[in-house]
Amino acid sequence: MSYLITQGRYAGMMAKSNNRSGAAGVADGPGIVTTSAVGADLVHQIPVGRSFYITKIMWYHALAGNVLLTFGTLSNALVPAMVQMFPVQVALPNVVGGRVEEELEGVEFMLNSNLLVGWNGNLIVTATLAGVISAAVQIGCEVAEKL
Amino acid sequence: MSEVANIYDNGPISLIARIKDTISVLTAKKWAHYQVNYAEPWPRSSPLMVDLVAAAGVTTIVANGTIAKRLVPILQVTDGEMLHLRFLPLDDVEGVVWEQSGTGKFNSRNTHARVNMATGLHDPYLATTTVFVMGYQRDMNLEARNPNPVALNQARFQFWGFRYGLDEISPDLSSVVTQGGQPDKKKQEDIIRQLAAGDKATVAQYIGPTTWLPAEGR
Repeated sequence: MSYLITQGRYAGMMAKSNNRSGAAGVADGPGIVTTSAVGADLVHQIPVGRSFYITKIMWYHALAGNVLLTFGTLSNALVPAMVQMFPVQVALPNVVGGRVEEELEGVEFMLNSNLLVGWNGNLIVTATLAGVISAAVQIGCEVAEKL
Repeated sequence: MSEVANIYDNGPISLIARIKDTISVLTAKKWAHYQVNYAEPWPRSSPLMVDLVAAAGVTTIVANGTIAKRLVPILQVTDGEMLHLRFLPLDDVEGVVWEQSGTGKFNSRNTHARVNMATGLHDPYLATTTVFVMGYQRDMNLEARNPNPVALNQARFQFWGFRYGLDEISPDLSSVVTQGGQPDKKKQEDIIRQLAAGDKATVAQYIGPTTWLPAEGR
């Protein structure tokens, strides 16, 4: 946290890791998110009244082929379900990959409560391999929460 | 640290009174007047840390949940002893302070403020968390709130500050006499009432210079 709060952009923010498991968003405490075959796995859920930036995302898988990772947040309108926030990332097999904040857009995840066009502000990920939603990709992220 | 501060000064925590100074404390809706007979620091350290999850005998503070207000044994004192404290949560939880009677501390008509991990980011010396605990069976209670959508395994709060020893002052009213030279009981009682009410002029006359200290809210 000391590093983050010495950076002007992060004054008044605190660093946290992802706080959800995969499995389509079932709460499982802090740790690695392992994607499910359902997709839209919850990686980080914003506490009420907060917003956050992603400062780091890491991934790993041992599947046969490249996995495409789509990060975003969930739409309140359900269609489309996902609001994509970053360009699709390619996860090579058996290689730890990742992005740090300098390589990511400065997107602030925040709740927009409008039921028709809003979104819930939580970070979700969907992994696909050859066009099929893929389980067993490990995702870790670090965020700076504003409170 | 040699300086004597006002009670909520926004710098590092400092003594509010030197040894032999007088403090006037609002407790139980009355002002009581004491002389400081001892003062020492209470450095931030592990014995002054409390984990409310462990104290409550549970395994977690549940998602968006609460650990109900409870006594903090490390902050219990005896009569003639006063603590001057600041605190912060070490985990991402919010601290809610209650006075012993269940009256909220840091509250107003419509709201009850809390101390969270960001309090120290905007108020680096945690001056706004200052609380005083004084006397036997007049303990503070602490409640923890978890703003996170996941359960947390710990809800730790770290305290530090100063500890004072106090002697209650009995004002010398021997000069309050009738024209006949007898003790003027009525006037003496009136003075005692005025002292308890915190009348500034009466306190200045019979107690002397003092530091006014709201140990309990109202």
